[in-house]
Amino acid sequence: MRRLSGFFGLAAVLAALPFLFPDNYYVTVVGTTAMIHVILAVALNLFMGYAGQISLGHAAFFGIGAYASAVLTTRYGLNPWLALGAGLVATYLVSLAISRPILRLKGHYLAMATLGFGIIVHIFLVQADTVTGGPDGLSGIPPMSLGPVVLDTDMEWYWTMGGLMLATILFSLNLSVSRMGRALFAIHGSEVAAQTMGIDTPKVKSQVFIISALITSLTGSLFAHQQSFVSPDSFGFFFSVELVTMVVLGGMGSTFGAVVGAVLLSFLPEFLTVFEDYEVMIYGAILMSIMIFLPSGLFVAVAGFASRRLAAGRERRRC
Amino acid sequence: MLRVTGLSKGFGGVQAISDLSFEVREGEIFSVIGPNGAGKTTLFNMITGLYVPDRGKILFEESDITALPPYEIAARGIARTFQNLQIFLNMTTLENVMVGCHLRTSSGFIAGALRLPKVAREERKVREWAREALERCGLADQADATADSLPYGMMKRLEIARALASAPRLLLLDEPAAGLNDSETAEMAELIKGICESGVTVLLVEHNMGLVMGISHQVLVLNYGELLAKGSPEDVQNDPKVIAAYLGNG
Repeated sequence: MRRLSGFFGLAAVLAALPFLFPDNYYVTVVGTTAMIHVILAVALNLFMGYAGQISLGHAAFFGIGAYASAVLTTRYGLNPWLALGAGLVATYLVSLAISRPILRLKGHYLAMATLGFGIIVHIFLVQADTVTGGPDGLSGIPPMSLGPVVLDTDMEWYWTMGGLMLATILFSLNLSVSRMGRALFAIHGSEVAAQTMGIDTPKVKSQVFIISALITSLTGSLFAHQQSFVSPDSFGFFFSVELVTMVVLGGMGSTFGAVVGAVLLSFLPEFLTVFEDYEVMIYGAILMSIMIFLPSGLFVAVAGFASRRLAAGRERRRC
Repeated sequence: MLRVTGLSKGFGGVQAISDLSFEVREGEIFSVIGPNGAGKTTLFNMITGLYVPDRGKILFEESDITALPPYEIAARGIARTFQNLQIFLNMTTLENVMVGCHLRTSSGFIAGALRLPKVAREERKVREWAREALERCGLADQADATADSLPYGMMKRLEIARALASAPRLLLLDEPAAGLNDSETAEMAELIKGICESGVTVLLVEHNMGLVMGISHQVLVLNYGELLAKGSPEDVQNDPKVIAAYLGNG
């Protein structure tokens, strides 16, 4: 179980925090937002970090899930779980339709194509105002219930998002030591070699794109109910860039890298109030500095350094 | 086992391979030699599906594999190495070879992510196969090293180990001895002979004449994409056309 020690450590911290700091704004409110970001970053990391692709349009899938839930529950009175299911079906169909043509592209071209996709979805959310409420968004989204519990307090959302976050992290960690996980890493390392080893690379890339999109959409649906309000601002190009920054900041390819990146970028704005005015600039600066000085990412670099020091320490003791 | 007929491929104005036909028999080491730019790697890329031939047919075990996608050709039992190494540098040595076992296993995304009992069993098997392949290529003690930390000679053998892990029936080796010193080349010759003796047919592209002539059953000489000569190593070495192509017409 050594492989999952980080996972169990995180689960313990998650369970302990509300008891150590009861009714603390940073735990229940910012913490829940951070967990939403962690889920999204870990999902994006499957596509970006594992498979070595790039998506500048993931906010669109977050938006499709959120708006499917918002529109279907407020306008048509659908059960929130059915609405969530409908969001997943919509995301599946959209991601399936765009994955094959889009994933033939590599590098800059793929970045441009996903960027275009994200912009189209965002424009749709703004313009189709008879359905989506336009720039003003939709409010009055009813709370959803998990069995007998109606999710309408911060703490209830803390546990719900915490559970989904742990499930996503476990999914990602298990995948990394499985056949398809290795296939993704292989595509990242050399797509040509991966093909000649028998990996159906177009299919595998499309599958991981769809899985990543589905997790993102599911989180979007929950987000809509948690906020009880959605507007297109939450699903624009900038949020896509924010997600990419989280993955890159922590370290591409590492699940806990994505966790660390998402947590850092969720708490930073809270502590630097000046951050708000310069948010876009600061994200840009972070992305640039990481690319130049720490291309492997903050978490991966620090963890690598620590494990080398530990190994050196063990070596010395042996002598 | 592998039959190539009338194969042609051009790039713009350059005819890389023209009207090439030959047959590789099961259990032999078949070498393709020729000066740089003779079309040897182009030939490999067509057999493994990376390039689509302009004309001609490739038959493997009597079935047509011409222009199939690379992963389907791999599934038929053809594995290869690359002249300009294509190692997965983001993985360990063992993981590289474990990727080679992709075709021998079947678990998908969901099974892997949920770590079903079947997956754990499969993983044990894959590790075993991968360690065997590393052992055969003399890399057993490098299993946990990251692939990008290996010296060049070991990377060459890692590519062979990865290809062997897929349990191929035909193995294509693209210049396995390029850049190796004499003792490493001798080890490579032993390794290739061993692979052939274990029942894997080998198609070899190589510049090192000592290696080619020492281990090959048949040799084919390519010159500007055309077949210049074909036969046993002795026949080819004594062929005046071959001598002229390699040494000039004096």
